[in-house]
Amino acid sequence: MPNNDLLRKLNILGAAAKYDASCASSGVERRGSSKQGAMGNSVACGICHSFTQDGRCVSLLKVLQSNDCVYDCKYCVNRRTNDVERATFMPREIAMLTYEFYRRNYIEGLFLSSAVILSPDNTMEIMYETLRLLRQEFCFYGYIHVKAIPGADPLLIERAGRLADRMSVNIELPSEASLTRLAPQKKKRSIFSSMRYISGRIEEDKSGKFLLRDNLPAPLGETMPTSYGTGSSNKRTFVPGGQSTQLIIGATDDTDHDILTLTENLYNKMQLKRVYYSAYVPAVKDPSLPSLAEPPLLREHRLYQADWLLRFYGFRSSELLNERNPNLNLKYDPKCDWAVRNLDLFPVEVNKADYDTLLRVPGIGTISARKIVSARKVGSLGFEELKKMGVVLKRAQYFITCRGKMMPHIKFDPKFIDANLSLDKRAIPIFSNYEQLSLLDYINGGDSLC
Amino acid sequence: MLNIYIYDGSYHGLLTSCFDAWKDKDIYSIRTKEENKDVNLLEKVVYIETDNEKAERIIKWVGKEACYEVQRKLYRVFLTEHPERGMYIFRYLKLLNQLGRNVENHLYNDDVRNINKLSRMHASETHRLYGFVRFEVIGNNILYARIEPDFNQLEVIAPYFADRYNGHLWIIHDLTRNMAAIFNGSQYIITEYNGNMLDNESKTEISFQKMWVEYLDALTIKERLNLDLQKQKVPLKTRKHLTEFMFKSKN
Ligand code: SF4
Repeated sequence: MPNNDLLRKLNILGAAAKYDASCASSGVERRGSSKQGAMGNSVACGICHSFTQDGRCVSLLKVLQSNDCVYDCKYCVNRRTNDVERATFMPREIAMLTYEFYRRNYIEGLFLSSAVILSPDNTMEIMYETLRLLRQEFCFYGYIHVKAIPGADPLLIERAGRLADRMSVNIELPSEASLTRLAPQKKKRSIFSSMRYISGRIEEDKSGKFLLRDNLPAPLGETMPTSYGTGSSNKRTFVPGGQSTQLIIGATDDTDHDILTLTENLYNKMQLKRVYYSAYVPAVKDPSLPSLAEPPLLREHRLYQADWLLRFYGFRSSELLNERNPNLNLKYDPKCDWAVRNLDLFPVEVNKADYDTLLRVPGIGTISARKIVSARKVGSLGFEELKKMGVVLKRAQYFITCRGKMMPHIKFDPKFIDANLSLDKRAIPIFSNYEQLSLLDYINGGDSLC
Repeated sequence: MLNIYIYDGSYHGLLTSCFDAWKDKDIYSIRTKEENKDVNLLEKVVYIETDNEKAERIIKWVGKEACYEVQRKLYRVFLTEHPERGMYIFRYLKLLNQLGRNVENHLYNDDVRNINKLSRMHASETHRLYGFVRFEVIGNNILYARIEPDFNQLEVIAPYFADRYNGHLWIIHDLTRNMAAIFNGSQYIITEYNGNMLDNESKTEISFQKMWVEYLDALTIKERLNLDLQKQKVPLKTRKHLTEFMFKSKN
């Protein structure tokens, strides 16, 4: 039976977790278990359960184990020297809340993070205990995302990782200089060595070379899930949903170029599944922090768009930004910006261009590109056909031809294109939500993500 | 003459109509009795008796000629309860017969568009329900949820929640259609249902609802407040059975 103290903790430790952008429950397909008392499953595409008043998706119960931090990161509300109300959850309290929320279908699972309670090891142990209770006593088969505390003993990280679907270590500040200045106790070394450890273990697990480093029993007892991981025959023991991280945007003077280059390396060299961006919200005052009037939401949005171009559209970060051009254009989206700077590659003929080329056309996303490739197998495409198929031409019209012709009244001229694109209101969005790659966006065939 | 085929409202009935009307050049509509309100003089009505064998033959044929995905799509179109669904499915089947598997590439053909559009709308509501069905714990640990979806969804969401809450008891009640899916921990049935299960909620239930509502408030970043975006993601008309939107007015 819940009581007021629990409600108080939930309020404090929920609010303290809100700056973590990640709430995705994606990457793991797992059927429910028929084991007595078991509950839960997981769907690879992720499921949104609610949206808060800021329009962000809620998929997981996102809470901190504790906000009672011994560290003193300047940008953080939980830092030691800040005067806020402190609270710490008992492991059983979080396990019970997750179970009860899940049962009512409020959530897909748990996202557990924490301030550094006494030491990284101590924190990791308490978090592990929470996950252990949830998996073993509550027999919970839903989604779990757990934060690894940088600097914690790898064995502790590993134990937690064997119970979780996804693990993350937040880099937060994009460069070593910013870290030293704003988060003096955090060391770039310990952040990256934790990340590297996790990605190394994931690789071993994928290739079947994963050896347990202790004698703890399998997380869900003898019924170790039949399809723990993506794909049914693919048994995985260590964070099958992969690793992610988060970068704070706008608290330091790191450029988009710095950020995107880092991101690209994380995807390519550390095999990260996702990098999240969180517009800095000036919640704390400190002379070393910028005094922003409001969080840089548009910049955050542009970074997400650029991030999608890296992951799904075959772009390299050097094509989007460089030293001389270090920040994303706020006026229109990064693909438009790239196209306008590379007009010699356009217009492309819809009936001939290959899939990868189509993907580079502004306004054409993966869904439209696939439709085009499929439909032109059975007949040549004109603008009418494209419209009927639901391909949105608003931005694409400046960059394509159908049967050799541009759309009527459209001039292929840099000034004309730039002027018209800047007029397009939709290019300045009411921030669509990139946190959860929603299946809806796929099903609806919308190109909202291109 | 315009021929109107009347079936019993089941999917098998609809497919039997398609089967029997296959060669009919004057087919005008395929409807259920309820949908067939006023008939004019030019119309001739044919009553179809559902034949499971004929229906299964069509389903198998679709699977062979196209694929499982297309089978699912047509079934979803049936579940939308769209007044034209009968003819949409009929014409799609004809097209499938004519073009074979290639039919799926004819994305700008109207018959193909209708099927794709309706099945997509249905699928997106299904997916939304996965996340937005809200259970309350009533009586002896029974999970009870009310929904009022635009389309008939019980058939497709029941297996999902059966897997998720395997071993638990639940009822999902579609108020619009007076139907419910009832799960006994291992199997579900779908049946007519008019009960009202929500007369007195326990203190425990209310306190968990309160925690959920306050939690969502705590999670909101006030500096990013964006009610338009929230409205776009959770349209007003879908909020009626969502704890987080109804709790305050209820208590
Ligand atoms: S370690 Fe730093 S960022 Fe994390 S809770 Fe403590 S003060 Fe905040």
